[in-house]
Amino acid sequence: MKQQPGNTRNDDRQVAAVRDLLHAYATRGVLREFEERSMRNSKTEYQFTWLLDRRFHLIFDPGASQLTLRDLLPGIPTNSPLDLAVREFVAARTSKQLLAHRRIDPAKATLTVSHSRSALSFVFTVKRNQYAYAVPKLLNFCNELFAFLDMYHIQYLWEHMGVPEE
Amino acid sequence: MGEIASSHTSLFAMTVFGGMGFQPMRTRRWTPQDKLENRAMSQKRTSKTSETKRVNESRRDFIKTAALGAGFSALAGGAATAAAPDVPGRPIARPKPFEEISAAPVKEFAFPATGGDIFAQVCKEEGLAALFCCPGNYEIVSALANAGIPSYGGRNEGSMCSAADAFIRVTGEVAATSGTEGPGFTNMICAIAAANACRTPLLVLASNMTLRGDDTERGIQRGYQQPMTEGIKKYGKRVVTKERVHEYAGYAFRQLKTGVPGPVHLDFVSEATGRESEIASATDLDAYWGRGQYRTDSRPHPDPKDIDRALDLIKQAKRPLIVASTGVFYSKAWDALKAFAEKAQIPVAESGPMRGHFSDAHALSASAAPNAMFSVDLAILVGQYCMPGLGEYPFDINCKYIRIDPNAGDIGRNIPIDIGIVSCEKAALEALAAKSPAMNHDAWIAEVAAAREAFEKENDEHYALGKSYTDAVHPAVISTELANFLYKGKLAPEQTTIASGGFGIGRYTRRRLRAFRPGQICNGAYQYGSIGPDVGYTLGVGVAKDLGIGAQKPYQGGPVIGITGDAGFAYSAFEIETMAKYKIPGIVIVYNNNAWGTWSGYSRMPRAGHMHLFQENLRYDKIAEALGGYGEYVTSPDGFTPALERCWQIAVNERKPSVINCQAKKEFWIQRDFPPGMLGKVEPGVMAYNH
Ligand SMILES: Cc1ncc(C[n+]2csc(CCOP(=O)(O)OP(=O)(O)O)c2C)c(N)n1
Ligand SMILES: [Mg+2]
Repeated sequence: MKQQPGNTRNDDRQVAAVRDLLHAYATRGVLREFEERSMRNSKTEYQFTWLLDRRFHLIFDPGASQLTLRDLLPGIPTNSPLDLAVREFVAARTSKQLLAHRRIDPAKATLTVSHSRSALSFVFTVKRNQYAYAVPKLLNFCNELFAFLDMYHIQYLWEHMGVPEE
Repeated sequence: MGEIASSHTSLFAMTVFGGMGFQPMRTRRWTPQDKLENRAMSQKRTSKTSETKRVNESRRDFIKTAALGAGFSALAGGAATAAAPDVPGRPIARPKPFEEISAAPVKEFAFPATGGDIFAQVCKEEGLAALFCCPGNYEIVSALANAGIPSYGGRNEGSMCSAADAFIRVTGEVAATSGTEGPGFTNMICAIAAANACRTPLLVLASNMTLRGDDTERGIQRGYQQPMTEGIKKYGKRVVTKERVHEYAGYAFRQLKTGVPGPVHLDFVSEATGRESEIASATDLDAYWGRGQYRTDSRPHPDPKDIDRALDLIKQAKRPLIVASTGVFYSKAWDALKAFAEKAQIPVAESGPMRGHFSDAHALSASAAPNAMFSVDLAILVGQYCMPGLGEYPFDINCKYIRIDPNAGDIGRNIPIDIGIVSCEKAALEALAAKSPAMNHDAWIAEVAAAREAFEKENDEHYALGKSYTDAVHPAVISTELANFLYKGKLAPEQTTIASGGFGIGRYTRRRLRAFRPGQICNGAYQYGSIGPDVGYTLGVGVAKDLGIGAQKPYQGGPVIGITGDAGFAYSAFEIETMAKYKIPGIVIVYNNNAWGTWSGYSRMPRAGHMHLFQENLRYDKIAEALGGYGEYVTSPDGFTPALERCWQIAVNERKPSVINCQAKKEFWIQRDFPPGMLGKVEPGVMAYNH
C-alpha cells in the first residue's frame, strides 16, 4: 500500500502488521473476499466476508491504536433490552474469572461499544502495539458474540442478520 | 451426492445379520405363561390415579415389566385389548390378520422366480432389517414381506419413509421404504431429502408402471422418477430388465454398505419385477453372483504416516476436541473412539443425525459444554459427513483441523484441513488409540467440566422461569421434567430411545436430553430442517426398539419417546394409528402453542400474521384416542410429569402409543414478555442439528 499524506512510518508499520495478521486468515480461507482500502486521517478499512456470510468492516486507526468493527450489529435501539444485553456481554469479556485464553486482558486491549443510527460498533483499543494479541482476540470476540446472539437472541438474527427461520 | 460414489469398502460389520443369524420378528413362540402375564397386565389398567401409583415400582420391577413387554412381539397377538369403545359394540380393534402374521410361513426362495422375488432374496441375504411402506409397488413389498423381512404398512408414504430413516439412524442397519408409482413415490420426496442430509443408508423402492407404456400417458401415474431424486440420493436406477434385477440389487447394496452412505432409489417397471417377470433358473440371470463377490466388507485403513502426523499435531495442541459424527456410528467405532479419547485425554463432542456414540456421562464428554467450544485449538472431525462451514463450529480463530473420513473426495470441503486421513473411522481411531502416547490435558478437561456445570445451571434457571408461568406449559418444564423422568427416576438412563424433534420445543429438549449409548437419540430432521416427520420418526425408533435390531439390541422393548410441535404433529400424526395397530408404544409429546413457531416474527403484520396461527386449544390428545392410542391434555406445569407417568404405564402395560398434548402459548417465544423466549444453539454437542 502507498504511503498516504500524514502517515507516519510507525503508522505504516502498524497498518502492515494488522494487514499481515488478517491476511493470514484470508489466505487460510477463514476470512473471505478480503479487501483493504485507505481512508482519510491515515485510517485503513479492511473488509471481509465471515460469520453468517456477512460483510465485516474493520477500521484501523493507527493514530488512536483502535480497531473498530463498524456497524457490526444493526437494528438495536439505544437502551433496548438487546443493547443492554450486548453491553453486559462485552463487559463480561474482561472478567478476571475468565481463563487467560478467553479473556480480553485490559493491560493489552480494551473493548467498548459505540452506537450510531441504531447500529452497534465495537472498538478495540490496543495497548503498546500488541496487535498480534489484539487481532485474534477481536476475531474470537466476534465468534463468541455471534454465538451468544444465536443462543439467546435468535429472533434478532432472523430479523436483522439474514439468518433463515429454517 | 447425486453421482455414483466411489467404491469405498464397507462400514457395516455384519454383526446382527451375519450368516443365518437374522431372525425375523414373530418367530418367538408364545407360551401359555406369556398369555397369562399379558392378560394380567391388561387387567391392571384402572383409574389414572392408580396408574400413577404403579409407576412407583422399583427400578428392577420396572425393567422387568418393560422387558416382558418387549417379549411380546409386536404382532404376536393376544395382547391387551384396544381402547374403550366410544360407541358400544364398536371398539377400535385390530382385525384378525394382525394376530395371524406370526404363524404365517416364510416363503423359501426357489427358481422359477419373479424379478420381485429375486430382489427380495438379495435383500434378505443382505439382512435388510425392515420395510416401512404404504400399499403400492405390490410385487416388491409382497415379496419382501413373504421373505420374512419385518414389514410395516402405514398411512402416508412420506411418514413411513421417515420411519425407515429413523429406524436406520438408531440401529445402524439398512432398512427400506416403498411407495406406489407416481403419487406414493412423490409423497416420499421430503423424507428422502432429509435422509440424504443425514447420509442414511435408506433403500427407497417404488414401482413405475410398464416400460412398454412409457410416455404414452395411457392409464395413470406414469413418470420418470430418477430425475426427481437428483441431488438427494447416493445412487439411483430405474430397473427395467428382469435378467438384471439381481445385478442392480447388488449395485444398491454396494452403495448402501460401503463408504459414506446415503439413500439409494430403485424404481421398477412391471416387466422387471411383475407377475410376467418370471426367470426359470439362475443361469438366465446376468451377473448372478453372491454377496461376497458383488461387494466387499474390506475397509480403507489409514496410512501410518498420517497417523503419526496427526499425533504430532495433537501433541502440540492445548485444547483439542474430537468431534464424533455420523461415520463413528455407522462404522461402529464407539469403542475405538473411547479408547483413543481416554488414552490421549481428549474431550469429545458429538454431532450428527443420531447421538450416543460417545456417552454424555463420560468425564471427557464435551457435548453439553457449549461454552468450551470457543477454546478449541485443534478439532479432529471424525466421520463428519454433513460438513459445517467455517465459523459454524465456533472454535478459536486459530483452530487447526484434522479430518478423518472414508471419502477422500470430501476431505478439504468447507473447512481447510491441516491433516486429512482417508480411512474408515473405526480403523483410524483404532490406529490412533494404538499409537497415541498417554497425554495430559487436565486444565482443558477442567474447563470442559466447568462449562458443563454452567450449562446445567443455566438449564435450571430456565426451568425455574418456566415453572413460574403457571397458566400454560413452558418448554423448559417439559424438557427438564422429561429428562428427570428418563435419567433421574426409576428408569435406567440408557434404556429409552428418543426421536428428538420439534422446532421451538426441540431447542429446549435438546439441551436436556442425553445419550448414554449408541443410537439412543434420533436427532430429528437434522440438517434438512423439515417440520413434520416426527411421528414417523417415533414409529421407526419404536420399531427398532421393539425388534431390538443393531444398536438397539441390548435395550430391546419398552416405550420410546417422540417430541414434536403442533405444526409438526399434523404432518405425520396418523402414524399414531400405525403404532397402535403394531403395538409400538411411542409416547409423543406435542408442544401445542397454537401456532407455527414462526408466528412471533410476523405478529405485527395484521394481513400476514394469521397464516402462522391455528385455532387455539386444539385437542391432539383426542386424535390419539380416536386412532386407538391414549391421550393426555396438560394445561399447567404441574400436570406434565403425572401425565408422562400415566402414558408410560400404559405404554408398558398395554403397548399403546400416546400423545401428551402440552398446552403452551405462542407468546412464550417472545423473550421480553416470557424470558428466556425462543432459544438458539451452539454446535457441536447436544444442541447440534445443523451438522
Ligand atoms: C415442511 C416445512 N415447512 C415449513 C418450514 C419452515 N418452518 C420452520 S419452523 C416452522 C414453524 C414450526 O412450528 P411448530 O412445529 O409448531 O414449532 P413451535 O411452534 O413449537 O416453535 C416453519 C413453518 C419447514 N422447516 N419445514
Ligand atoms: Mg407450534
